Amino acid sequence: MKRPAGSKITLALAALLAVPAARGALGDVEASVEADRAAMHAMQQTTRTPSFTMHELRAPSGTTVREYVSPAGTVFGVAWQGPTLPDLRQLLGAHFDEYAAAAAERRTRRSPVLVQLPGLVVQSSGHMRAFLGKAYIPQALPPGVAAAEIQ
Amino acid sequence: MTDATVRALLAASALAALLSPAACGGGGGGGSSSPSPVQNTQSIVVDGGPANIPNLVFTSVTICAPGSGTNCQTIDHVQVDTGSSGLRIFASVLSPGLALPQQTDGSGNPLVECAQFVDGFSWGPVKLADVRIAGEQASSVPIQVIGDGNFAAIPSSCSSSGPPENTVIDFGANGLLGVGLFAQDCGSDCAQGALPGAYYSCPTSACQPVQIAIDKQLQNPVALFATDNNGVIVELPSVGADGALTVTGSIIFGIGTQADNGLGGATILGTDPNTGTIVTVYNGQRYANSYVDAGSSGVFFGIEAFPPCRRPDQGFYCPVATQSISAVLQGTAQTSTDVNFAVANADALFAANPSFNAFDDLAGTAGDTSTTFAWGLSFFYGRSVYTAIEQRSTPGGMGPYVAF
Repeated sequence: MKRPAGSKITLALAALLAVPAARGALGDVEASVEADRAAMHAMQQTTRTPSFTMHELRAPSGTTVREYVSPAGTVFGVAWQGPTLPDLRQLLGAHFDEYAAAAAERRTRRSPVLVQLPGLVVQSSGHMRAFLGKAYIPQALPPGVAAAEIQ
Repeated sequence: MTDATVRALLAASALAALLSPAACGGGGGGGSSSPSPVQNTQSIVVDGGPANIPNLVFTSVTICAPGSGTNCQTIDHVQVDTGSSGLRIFASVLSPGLALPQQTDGSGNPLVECAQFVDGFSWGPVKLADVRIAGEQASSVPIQVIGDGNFAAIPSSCSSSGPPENTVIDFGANGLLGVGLFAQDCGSDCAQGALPGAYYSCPTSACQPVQIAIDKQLQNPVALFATDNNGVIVELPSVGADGALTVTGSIIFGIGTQADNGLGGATILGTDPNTGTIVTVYNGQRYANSYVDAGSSGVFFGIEAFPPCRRPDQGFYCPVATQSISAVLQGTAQTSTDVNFAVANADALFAANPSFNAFDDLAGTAGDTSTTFAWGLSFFYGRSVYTAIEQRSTPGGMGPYVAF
């Protein structure tokens, strides 16, 4: 392919732009919540409890995502609710492919999904206009926090 | 005599009236009626379908090039879904000779849809077709053609919602007949903003989410029928505790529009007008995001109500012995009704009769959020389940509602 003049600058810029957008994400540090907020163009509200911090992200689409951060600073759970599914690749990060592969094994169709792997639990239900679900890393739950609190 | 038998007799007498030249037109009260009733009943079957999946119910749909009475194709094994709206057909089963015209967005670019289901997504262009089912017809209906090679590149905001369902086997059907509570699949949300994971504008460059007028979106075909356009009834006979190889029933178009589709003694449960949900009360717990959905395979609720089955059927329950449960379903207008339901050991059901496809006691988990109670196809056996479309009048009031 023929390169235009000034290709070094172009290439350098391209290299910068080619860095994948920051992914949020389950298992990542608290700062990753900001990447999710930006990707969703969301309004953010933060609630702190003694056992975790919860960041609620409201997207213009009407879908709400809640990210749960442990006192150690790890995103240990995410939950969603709304008319469309959120970007699960963004929210689950490195765990997305694992989720998609496990979900594809099901013997149902258009039915609630339960994925229970050693390091990942995903529960997803609903239908168009009303989706609901959550994902968490069982080992990352702070002491005293039950999985049911992620919602 | 069951309601279904009464209805079958009424249908037979309506047919006799239709065939008798001296007979006056019958027609029930309520919705639109015509001098000679339209044939409004089509056969449905639970038989595993192309991917051998239990508890999916199928029918046949005829689609034609818009305005053509002859350039038509009948597609079998299109899944009947009351949990979504709009007709979707796989490109791989469509005859190229149909040459369905492409739907365009407000700027004249091709319109392509990302259909999100809870367990995956389906990507493909919106095209226009005349749709015929039983004696009913709708013209120039926007439908989705899934897996069309002309739009092979899937935007990441679409593919990021779960596993792909862009082949007949992954999807489990040759298409989906969405005859749910809503007149469109997305509705005002997509008319007011460009939603990722919904409609996309696809010029020759990359596809982008696009805001799209309501009438250009996928339409519930029933809402576009000339008559019998206020909803549907899905009727399936009872099956035994072990299940059945195949089960045959009917989808009847219209509610209270003809002699064969009256509400009878059905309890009407109004649904949330935005989400289509009702309330289930089970075991002292209130499940506010409940829904009745022929497109879902079983009855799904809770997470540890019973022991789970082994992987990959971990989403189903496997109690040691069949359990009887009862729940109360509540609608928006203070109406409620009791439902009794059996939860069998799914592994045992599948192992006892590996070829069986229809089970009324198949149940599984919906997660620990304690708000979802999904009444899927297991619930439909032995019932006539009514789905009334939003803002359409019926003898039982305006939709959206479910009744049984």
